[in-house]
Amino acid sequence: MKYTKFEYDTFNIYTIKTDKFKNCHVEIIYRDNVDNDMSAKSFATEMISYSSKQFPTRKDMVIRLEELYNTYFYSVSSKVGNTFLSNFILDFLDPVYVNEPEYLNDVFTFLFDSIQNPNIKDNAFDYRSFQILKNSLKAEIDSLKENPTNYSLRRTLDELYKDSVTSKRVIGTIEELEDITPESLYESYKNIIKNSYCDIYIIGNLDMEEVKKIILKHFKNNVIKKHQVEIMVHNKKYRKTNTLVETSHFVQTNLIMAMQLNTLTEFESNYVLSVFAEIFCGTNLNSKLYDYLRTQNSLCYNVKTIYQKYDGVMFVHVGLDEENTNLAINLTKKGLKEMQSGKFSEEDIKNSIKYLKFASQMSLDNQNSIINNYVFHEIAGIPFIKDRIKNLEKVTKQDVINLAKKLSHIYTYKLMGEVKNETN
Amino acid sequence: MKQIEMKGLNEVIHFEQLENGLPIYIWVNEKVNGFYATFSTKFGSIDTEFKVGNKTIKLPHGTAHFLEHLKFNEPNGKNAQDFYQEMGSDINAFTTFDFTSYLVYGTEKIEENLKHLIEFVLTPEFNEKMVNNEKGIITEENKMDQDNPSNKLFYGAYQNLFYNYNQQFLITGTEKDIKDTSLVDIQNAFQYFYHPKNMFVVVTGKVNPYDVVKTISEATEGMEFEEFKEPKRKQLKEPARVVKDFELIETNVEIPKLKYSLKIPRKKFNVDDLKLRIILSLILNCTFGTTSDLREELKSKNLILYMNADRILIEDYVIISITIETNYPDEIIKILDESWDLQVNEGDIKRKIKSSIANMVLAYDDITEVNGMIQDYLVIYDELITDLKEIYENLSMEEVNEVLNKISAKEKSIIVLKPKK
Repeated sequence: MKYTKFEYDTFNIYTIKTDKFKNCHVEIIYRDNVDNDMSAKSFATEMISYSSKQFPTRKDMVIRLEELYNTYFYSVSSKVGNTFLSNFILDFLDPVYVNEPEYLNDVFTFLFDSIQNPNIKDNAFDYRSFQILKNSLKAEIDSLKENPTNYSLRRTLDELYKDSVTSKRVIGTIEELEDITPESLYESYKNIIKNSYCDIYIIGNLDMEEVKKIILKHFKNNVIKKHQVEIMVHNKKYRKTNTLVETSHFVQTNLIMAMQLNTLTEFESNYVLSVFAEIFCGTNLNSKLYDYLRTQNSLCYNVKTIYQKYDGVMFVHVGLDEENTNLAINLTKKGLKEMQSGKFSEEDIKNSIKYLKFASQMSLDNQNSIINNYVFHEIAGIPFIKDRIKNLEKVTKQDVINLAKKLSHIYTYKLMGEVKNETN
Repeated sequence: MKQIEMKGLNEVIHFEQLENGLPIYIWVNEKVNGFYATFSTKFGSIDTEFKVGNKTIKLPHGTAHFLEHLKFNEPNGKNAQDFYQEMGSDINAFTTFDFTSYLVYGTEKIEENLKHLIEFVLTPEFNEKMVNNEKGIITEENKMDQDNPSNKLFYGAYQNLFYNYNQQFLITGTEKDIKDTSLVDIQNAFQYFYHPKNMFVVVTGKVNPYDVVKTISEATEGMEFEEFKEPKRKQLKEPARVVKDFELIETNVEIPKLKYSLKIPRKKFNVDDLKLRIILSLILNCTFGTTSDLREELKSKNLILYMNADRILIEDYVIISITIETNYPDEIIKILDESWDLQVNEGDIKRKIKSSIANMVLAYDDITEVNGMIQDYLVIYDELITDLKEIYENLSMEEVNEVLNKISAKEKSIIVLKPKK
């Protein structure tokens, strides 16, 4: 795989040439600090991949994509720490399989045209597409309550980080959505294009010099940005543990235990944290929490950790019977204490590193993972996968103990299930 | 070793059958880092009653899944995870209606990984304590499934479509099924279905096909297998009519959801199963998919938030289902009632065929997808489909229209999930 970076005043092009895949993958990424316009920018991002001036309905756009050998065009809005990202993504067949000389040019111009010529009339987004997407987004916000895991996590974030960007939802709230008009949405679109940093990432078996020429010919991004984009969120630190219990109509009780991550070093953030998480509550049945909650006590099917390292918080989630929640809380606390006191073996460290190296190797077989790694290498300084594989070996038992001591349990959220009211 | 050409795709699948009857399929991709191996048995959640010789065996629903959970236990209190953790590999398993599969992902030591996969799956290690311990875990999995609205809609629809087919039951079984499952049930299931002649191995990724066959052959060399007596599954008779044509359930949803399903006798369609699946997918894609006029109209009028159409062949029936999220279920049902005079045009069909062929080429970027595709072929058709691209390219509008004209909404069932008041 050959990595190349082409630098320009207003955007950079990052390419990875490899013959590993028959698919080619392009991402145009706009990046800025989280602001009050985030949910509208997320909506605008969605609008751009939904229809365009040239293809004014979804049907028109998808027909064009099918003509381009089922090229896949979509957008993703995300928040990582304090950074908001709008990604416009295009997946297309390696032109070598297509007997059409203009194919490469056609797919790139489709992408650029969609972003640069959205479906605008009289300084407002097309009302019809606007209304369709607004309804979809409203449904998406409402349906959060249908998923007990996501809902429990959301409630925990809302309660813990009320005034922080950590609790802000990319998709926003119903109230925020109701305030957006086709006109204001166009302003948010311009906000993305004018004020965000922009970069283009490409992976595939392409002549990257030719790709660069096509980009420079068709892609316009004229504004030079000089402001700082900060990724870390410095949340307030909690000294006490709080608890919130709410009721629901779900069958299972969903339990979230939030743990504060006190300031990590770069080495801890890039390497030690994943080794810790693997031993504490990793993907295998032998991790501490799987062993205590599932194998030894049959309390649950699944227990998992989710960490947001740029927000300084980690969650343990488990779905179980209401009567078992206290036992699960005590076992999780016991597991954390043991991590802090070094009650795990060198073998655990060795096996976790082995697993993480394997997972990193496997991620090199996936275009999205390779690009994602390149993006976060550039914007957050995370190591390249090959360096990660090398440096994971350096993690020691003491490193894991030190990191475990930086964790403290700060919040318990319980969404109580109803007792046996449904059968299948 | 036989080399099977996937015509028009420039791909080859290696095939070997061991003396004990175990078939092995291998697809090599030298450009990737990893490998993916699956070891599967044609024993799924629908297999609950069968005959072996004169003996009839009945199992509780969920037995295949229960056995899948227990299979990870190994002698001396160990489990398969202990071994794979040391290997730095990833293992898992899943159960479907039709088969159970054990899988390993790895990047190193393919021989050790593969050998152990064969050994742990083929070695029975069950006792009462293990069965009882697992009941709590599977019950929680079942409850997790109950909290998923998609499951509620899916199984609710099947319960309203079928009187007798086992596809209407959750793969885990009910809480009562889980409680009722005994050590004897597990032993019976293992004895009759975990035999090389009822199983298959698929390995994809960076592997040497000759080494793979040698490793699996050596792993099974010392094992003794009884003569395979093929379990004869009980043939279930299913009436042509649906059980319930309408059901409204108030449950844990925020957005109402509905599934509108047609039950059509398979014998109405004069075409083989493979072509029938392909043509039905193309038709549904054209008439209910993203480029359909109907979807565009329903979206514009804010009548739907999500719509998906699919088809499945279950024994003697073709089931066509339209799944919709909508705030106006009554209006949508009326519109769907009027929508079955389906029409497609040649341009749309040709474009969808072009897209499908592009997807076929791209599937070979992913060792998991190729592995899954081979598994599906073996479970559904008992062989690889080597001329899929040609079948797509040679489809005629006459064939499409012939299928289209047989789609009938005479037997339909609708299930609606609405928010609890």
